[in-house]
Amino acid sequence: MSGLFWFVEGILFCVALLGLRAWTQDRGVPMPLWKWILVVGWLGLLGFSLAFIGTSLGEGETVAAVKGGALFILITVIVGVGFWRILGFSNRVDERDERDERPRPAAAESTGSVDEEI
Amino acid sequence: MTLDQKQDEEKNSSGLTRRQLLKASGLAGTVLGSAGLGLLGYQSGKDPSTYTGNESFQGAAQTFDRNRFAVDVPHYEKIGPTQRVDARTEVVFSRVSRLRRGWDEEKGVEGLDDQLREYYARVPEDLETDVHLIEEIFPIHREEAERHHGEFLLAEAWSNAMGEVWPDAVDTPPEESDVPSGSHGEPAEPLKMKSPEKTAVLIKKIAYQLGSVLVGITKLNPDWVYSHAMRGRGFDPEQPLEIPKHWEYAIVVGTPMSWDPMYANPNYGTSLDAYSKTRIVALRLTSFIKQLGYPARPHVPGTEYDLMVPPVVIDAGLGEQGRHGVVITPELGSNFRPAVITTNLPMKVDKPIEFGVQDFCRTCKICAENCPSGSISTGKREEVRGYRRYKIDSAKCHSFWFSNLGNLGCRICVAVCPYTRKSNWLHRTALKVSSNDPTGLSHTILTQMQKSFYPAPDPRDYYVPLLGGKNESYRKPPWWLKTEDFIDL
Ligand code: SF4
Ligand code: SF4
Repeated sequence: MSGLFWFVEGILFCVALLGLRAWTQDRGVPMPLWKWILVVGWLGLLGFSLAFIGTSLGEGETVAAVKGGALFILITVIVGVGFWRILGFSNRVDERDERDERPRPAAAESTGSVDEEI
Repeated sequence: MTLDQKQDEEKNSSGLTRRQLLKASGLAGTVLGSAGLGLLGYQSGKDPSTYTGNESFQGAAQTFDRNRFAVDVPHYEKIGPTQRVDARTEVVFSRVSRLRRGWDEEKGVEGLDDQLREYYARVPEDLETDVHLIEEIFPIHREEAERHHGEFLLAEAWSNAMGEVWPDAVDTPPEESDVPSGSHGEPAEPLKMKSPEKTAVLIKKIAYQLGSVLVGITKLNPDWVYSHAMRGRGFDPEQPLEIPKHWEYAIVVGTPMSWDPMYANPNYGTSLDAYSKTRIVALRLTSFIKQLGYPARPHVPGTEYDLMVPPVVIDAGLGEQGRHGVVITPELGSNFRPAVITTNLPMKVDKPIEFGVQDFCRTCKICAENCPSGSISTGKREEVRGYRRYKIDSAKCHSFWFSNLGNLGCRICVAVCPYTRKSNWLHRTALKVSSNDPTGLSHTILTQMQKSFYPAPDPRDYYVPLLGGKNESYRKPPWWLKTEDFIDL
């Protein structure tokens, strides 16, 4: 059960990262390794906050769930907003339009098989 | 436009392009994945397999890597001439039962036996507390018990049921009771063991198999043996207890008290469950050792023992003594009850450990702040019979035990201690952080979190109404101990 749970969790977070990748590409936000590390770190913080709330509720410690949950979620939001800016997610460029206008390698045009951004 | 881009733009049956679908799935994955972690947390908070010490009787619960925290000398320091405890007067249970037998209000202290007179002359504050217990607390307790008749019936019935299996330990002198009797065909001579190392491994494995959750081995420090024994142990309590030569080693075994009732102390928890289980392990292990041809004697609190158990537990590397006077182990916190077997079976001994408790207790003080009787010191460690430790007012503590309803005892200090937590990822992580933090910063943060996230009732509320309280317990009782849900009173 535990193995299956982590397998499903792994798939869900992979899908989440793929979705983020598509989203950043569409907005023209470059994503070097350090940015991915920050993203994964933030997801870890979010996961910790939710797991803390769940664990406290499971233990019957409602005050811990409410107070601790509020504290950790607040930290998650603040860190999230900070990361959002650091990662340049708010600098919206209408990437789809821009991308369509960029010159493309001839080979890519001819075969239609290369999309360097995916 | 490339082929991929074309495919991107083609809408599928849901009206989304491939990229839109990918992004939406990403968002859904984040939400579902995070929700999964929350649910996993909930499950781990509720999971009975996190009731440490009850998962297995195979030694699987003694998981802490003690070697990393092993020290050569235990954390208590010898700072003066040491003195053994006189079980007749210094152990509060023996003293108060003697006082009850001999107390005559008119004669006062003069009517008491020599030892009690001498003790109360030395510690007059204990006379006040003990007499107050007999004259004031007992009658109040009787009245309250009648008034709240049946409120804690299930808790009491469950506790008594746990204590029902209580095999007698030894009541004859060591030269009779400790030696192999031949009843199981024991060898006339001790068997030749291959090595102390192998014997220690074997004894620990057998102790686990017998149901012990924690096991440790040490050489017995004579300072921990009572100077005069309790009644019913085969010694003459009037004579100094001469330590038998074969009390060379001490094996410590222990099992936890049930977790949910323990959190509902002082009314619903009990020590009898763990004491009964530990007692059975100790008696069985004693029998096992005797069948190897070696003498052995079980010391099983809370009734039959010839030594102070907590320091032996520390020497055997199972934990450190907390401010509340109870030993804190990495696995069970203070939620366990130990017993000791003394023997001369040669074994490799364990080293004491230090995993940060002394430092944590220095600033934490949660037990002292929550103790209803004010028995736990908020100050520094001080000299007690030649050793440096936190002082406990056992007379006041004992007096509170007899004032509250439900099961005998209190154990609030055990329940509120941040180390007494179940074995889920959250508390295991906190333990790992605090044990490995030499700066002490995490101790301060964890203590503040503990105080703010895990509030406790006002200590005065633990008392019965006639003593100004509300019969409070630290946490609500588990559903199966709520009498009112099952019985029409
Ligand atoms: S058992 Fe209760 S009264 Fe005794 S020291 Fe602990 S909290 Fe205080
Ligand atoms: S509650 Fe705090 S001060 Fe008391 S024994 Fe536990 S850690 Fe130490």
